[in-house]
Amino acid sequence: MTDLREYFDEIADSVTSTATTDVEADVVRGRRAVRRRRVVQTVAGSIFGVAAIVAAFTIPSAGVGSGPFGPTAAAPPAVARSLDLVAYQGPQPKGFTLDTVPAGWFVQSDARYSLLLAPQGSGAGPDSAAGKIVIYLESRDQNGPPRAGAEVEVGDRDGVLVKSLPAMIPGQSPPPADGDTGWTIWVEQPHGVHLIVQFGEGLGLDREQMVALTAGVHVHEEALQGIG
Amino acid sequence: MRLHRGSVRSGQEDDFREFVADRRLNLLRTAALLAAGDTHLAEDLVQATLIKVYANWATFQKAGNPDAYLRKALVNALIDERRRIWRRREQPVAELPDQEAATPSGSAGGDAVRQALRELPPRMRAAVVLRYFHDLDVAETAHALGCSEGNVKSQTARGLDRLRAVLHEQQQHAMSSRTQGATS
Repeated sequence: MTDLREYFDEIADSVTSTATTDVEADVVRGRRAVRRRRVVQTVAGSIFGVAAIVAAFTIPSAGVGSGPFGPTAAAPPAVARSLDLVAYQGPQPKGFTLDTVPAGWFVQSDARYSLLLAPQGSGAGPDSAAGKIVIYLESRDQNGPPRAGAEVEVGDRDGVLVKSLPAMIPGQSPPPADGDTGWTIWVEQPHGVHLIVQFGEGLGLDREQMVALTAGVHVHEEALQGIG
Repeated sequence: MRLHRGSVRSGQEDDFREFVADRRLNLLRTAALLAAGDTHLAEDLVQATLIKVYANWATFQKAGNPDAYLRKALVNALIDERRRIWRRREQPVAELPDQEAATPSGSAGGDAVRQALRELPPRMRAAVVLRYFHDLDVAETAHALGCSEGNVKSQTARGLDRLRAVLHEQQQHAMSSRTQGATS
């Protein structure tokens, strides 16, 4: 424990001493924050007043959560199954191994940080994840799913199925939010880090298939977390 | 002077300046550990904490335990920072995850611990830092993290196991290097 304390001190000592300019900068930042807060409070008060008046004279026309980010966003995908899962026969990758893949798919990229599955004949190179399946560990600055999703049983573990937000690609109109915008399954591993399996939009896999494929992904010690 | 909406006003800014001059370095030292040696992130955490303190100066002055207030604010800043990063990357990845950059150099053991801290989830890292750098007890750590004491115990045990494993590996490596040096 003594060693650990010494190393903690070493890391803590890596910061530089406080200069007078830092102190003044903190004062300036504090003033700005207070000003921003007052503006927000004023604007929010005005908006709330107007919204209350509008609500009093409006009959609701849609249920709660009908938008893309409401509770329905976590509902199971209603996509038609157009792909079958088959046993993976190729050489097993490094950090992650596979039991099944969609028929006609192959491991396009294999690194200790991620695994990329793509359909045969995919024109996009291994740097693109669009229309593919990406398998990786959550980044070191992540800690679980970003939003609520549907709880799913992935093998003998609990997982969360989260609907992806519509992709925003410059020059292209976003897909309809209530369509298949892609899905991500998060499964916590024994060491506390989550395995993430990301399914691109419109792959033709239904919920059971996504869960089955994820259950067949095995994380090994060689797998590394990315950063950022 | 009368407080205006709980924040610092005119003459009281001098009190805030004095407070910052007195406490900023210690805050940075804690933040450096919470940020696993990332000094830029540590500075961000301290700035976020001090903004909160400034904006709630009256509340802070009335706080029975200012140190506990600061620790909690620092940990919250760390968690908020993680969420902020999450919002940036909530869209599905269009490219494969970035790989790790080179770590800063210090002693071999220090680098190993820094790397191991970086691999801990933020709350687990905070639990270990508060327990074994600040020597807080379980209850104080639970207050800072806003979780149960049982959660602190389990997070700390898991985090400490990982750090110990890294230290053991590093010591074995150092001994092996010394042995090779002596025989050559």
